[in-house]
Amino acid sequence: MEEARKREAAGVNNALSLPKLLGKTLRNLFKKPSTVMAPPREIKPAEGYRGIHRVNYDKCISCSLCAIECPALAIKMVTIPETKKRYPEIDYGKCIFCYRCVEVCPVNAYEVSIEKPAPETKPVIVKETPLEWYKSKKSQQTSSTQQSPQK
Amino acid sequence: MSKNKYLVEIPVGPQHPALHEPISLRLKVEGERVVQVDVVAGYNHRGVEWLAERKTFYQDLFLVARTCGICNAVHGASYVQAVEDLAGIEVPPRARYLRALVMELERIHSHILVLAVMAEVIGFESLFMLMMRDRERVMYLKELVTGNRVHADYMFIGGVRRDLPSEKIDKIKKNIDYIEERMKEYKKIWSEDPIILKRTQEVGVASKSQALAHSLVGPVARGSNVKSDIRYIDPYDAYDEIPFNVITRDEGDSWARMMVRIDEVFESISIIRYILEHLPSGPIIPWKNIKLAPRKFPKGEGIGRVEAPRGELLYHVFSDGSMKPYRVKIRTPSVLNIHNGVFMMLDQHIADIPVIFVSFDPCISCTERVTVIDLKTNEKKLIPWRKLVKEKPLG
Repeated sequence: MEEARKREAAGVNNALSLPKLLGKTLRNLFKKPSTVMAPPREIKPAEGYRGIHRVNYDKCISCSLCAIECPALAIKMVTIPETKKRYPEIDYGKCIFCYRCVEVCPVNAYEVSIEKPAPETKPVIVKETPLEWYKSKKSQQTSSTQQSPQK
Repeated sequence: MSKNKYLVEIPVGPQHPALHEPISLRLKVEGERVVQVDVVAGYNHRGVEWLAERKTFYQDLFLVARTCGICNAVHGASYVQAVEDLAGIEVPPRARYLRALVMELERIHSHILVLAVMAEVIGFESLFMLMMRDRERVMYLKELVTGNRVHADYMFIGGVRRDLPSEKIDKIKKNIDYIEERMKEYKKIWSEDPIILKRTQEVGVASKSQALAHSLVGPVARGSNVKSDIRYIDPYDAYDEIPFNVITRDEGDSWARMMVRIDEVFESISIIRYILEHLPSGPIIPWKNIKLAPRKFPKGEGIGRVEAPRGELLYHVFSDGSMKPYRVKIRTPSVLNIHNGVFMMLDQHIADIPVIFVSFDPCISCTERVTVIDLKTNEKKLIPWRKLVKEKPLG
């Protein structure tokens, strides 16, 4: 309170005195804006940002530890009917990007990136699902086996 | 109050241009003078404590951090402290310093945020914009250290989740210098600008004895010359080795509370500088690998308390020897400050109510977590959200 009274006496605490920020505000009128346009110029995340991650199914040993540990229940184990093996499928809409799955994986099958998750206006990015992966792997194998006898 | 006067009830909130968060203040006014204030909370209830009992100890790490968006690292730190107390885990020195680093970064951005919001409530929008612009630098530093600008998810039972490489230290120092320079300018504005002084000085005064009697915590108590700081009273993590001052002011008004926060930003900057210079080397978790952390914790209970940006935060974790905690009790500072600080609003003008309310730095998502009170039967009981929905369907 004493400080306030001193200022009152010195005439600083007077409503008629000039606002301190006025000069700066006027100067800012002639500067570039601090904000950036959202869709065309996305801000690059810092090094080590927890971005979109995907499973390397070739490395996966189907232990389902990531699905058990996931705090958001975003990982579902999908069974491939032919081999009866189960592989994790991440729901990026549910995912909170805590990287707990990356941390617990015993064979480090998760690949990480600093790519930002898509904003809500765009459709949610769905990376390769286990079934797609299995189909492409099978087709590759069959094509390679078909090609090899011709040679 | 004489009989021929009318009392008018004015609802402020839950959706109101002056209050930014969903809480309702029922003001009973006599002319321009506030006579009675009723706080109606419960619009942001999510049942975090109930959910915490149904998830494992490691899943709860990420759940408790989501109790509050702004002070998520301190929530995590308090929870892991409680679990470490329960299991008797020793934290390596490097992890203790890194935890303190992240919590101080969080304190800086939380204080800058409330200073900016206060400027906006006063009607000083240009200061709000400028402060929010500079706050983004702190958010960037948090992203650099932890991996995300808001939800750090940095704390782990026994240590922290990622190490700080030496090349990032220079970046932090450079940005911290910039923030300090800017904050010096803002301190000048906050202590000299006529608009701010006229709106905040001698508004919502709490004396030292009142602050103690109403058990106020954090910067609200420190603004009334109560030396309450958990970092100082009961040092945790690395705070027993770091030198710092507890900032107090004796005015006790809204302005003093904001000035305490500005001075604490400078104190946090000096703490961060000390941490970066004296960061010990060594492991960040007591085990060889983060994958080797124990799955189960012994039977018992543990307490963790930290100084959140808003005051004392307490976690009480009970374990029955299984993978899931038996009970997680959270006591947040905003509960005390919002409900007990109402006495400051009495005998004030209606226009000053938002200023007083924002000077508490209210965090609504912290306030509303668990208790559902049945007003009809006057019973207080814990009702899970799903059961509540089943029993009383909407419409």
